[in-house]
Amino acid sequence: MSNLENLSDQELLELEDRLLLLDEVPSGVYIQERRWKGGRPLIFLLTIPLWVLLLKGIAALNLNPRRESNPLLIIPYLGSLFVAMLLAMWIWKLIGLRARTALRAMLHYWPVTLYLGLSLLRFVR
Amino acid sequence: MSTQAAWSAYRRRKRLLTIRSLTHYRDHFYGKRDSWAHPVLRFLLVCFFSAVLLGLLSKPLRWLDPISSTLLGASALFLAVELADELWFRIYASLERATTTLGAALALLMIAGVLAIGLFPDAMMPALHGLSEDVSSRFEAWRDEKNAKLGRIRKTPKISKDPIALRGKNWVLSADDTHQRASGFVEAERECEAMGAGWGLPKLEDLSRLEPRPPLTQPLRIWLQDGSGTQLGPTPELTGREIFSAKPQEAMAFLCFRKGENE
Repeated sequence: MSNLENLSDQELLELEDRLLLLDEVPSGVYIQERRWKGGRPLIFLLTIPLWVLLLKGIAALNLNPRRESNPLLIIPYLGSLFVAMLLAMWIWKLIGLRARTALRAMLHYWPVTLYLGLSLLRFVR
Repeated sequence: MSTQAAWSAYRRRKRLLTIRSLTHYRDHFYGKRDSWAHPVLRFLLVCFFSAVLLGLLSKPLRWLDPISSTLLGASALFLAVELADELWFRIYASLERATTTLGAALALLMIAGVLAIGLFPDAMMPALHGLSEDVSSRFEAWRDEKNAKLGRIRKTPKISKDPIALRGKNWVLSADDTHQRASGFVEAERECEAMGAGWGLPKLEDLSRLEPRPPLTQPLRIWLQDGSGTQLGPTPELTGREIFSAKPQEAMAFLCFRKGENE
């Protein structure tokens, strides 16, 4: 870490992004418990609509035409949640350094985001 | 140094500190993580500084036109986050140092304790034994007290508000205006005996002789004469189905029963 000072601003930005990504998107086969660092909350927020979409897709497949409560249906239910999480992480990785940095900054300066959002809402109304 | 350069230098320093805090646990304690208290503390710091700055600027925020006041408010909140970050990095550095120092002190204390037990077993063992007994008895007393308190809350289902309904020809159910009341065994026994000759806590077989049946909507645990507990239910089938042992300090409802003249 001694040569951190020698890195350029851009290199530092990329290093910070890489380190945060390690926490945001687990690399192992299991999901590590890492606090809500960086963009973690946004990944979870993104997971919810993706999960809803996947559940709608599963419902359209009509796996349970007789509408019986089949305990095995928990498998596609939880499976879709897992897939939604993976998809959200994949999207997070895909959006690129600039978008990730901007979104993380929005989250880090959450009082400013909240204040500007509420002010905008007040102007629109 | 121009403002632009100062700002760049500030951002760079902050980024370096962030990278150091991100790599610290990976480098030194791989597998361990920062405490959950850290983000909470950081959140509280941000809230504190935001409140202070917005409080200081509350008057200008009201005077200015909407766009200027929004910009001023947003800048104040930005500054609040920056102040919280700055303070947090200082706290984090002190925490790191304190953890290392405390860890070493704790290790030394443990080594000294083991050495003391090893060198002077006759002096240390009775003291340790007494300490553990003291701690366990205190813990048990505390647990019993908490259980009794919880029991009083949990075992107080609502029953009829009509006071007449809490009294039959040969029974009285412990109750106040709105709730059934729970008591320990000794207290229940004393209260029933104070009602007069022939009154006392019921035996199991007495529960089938209640006239009329108590108007309960859900089962209730009550004391029996021998210090055990049973269930008083809305129907005879749900009453006295099982007897369970209970500690005298446990809190249960009680039903006082008057024995017939020929008993």
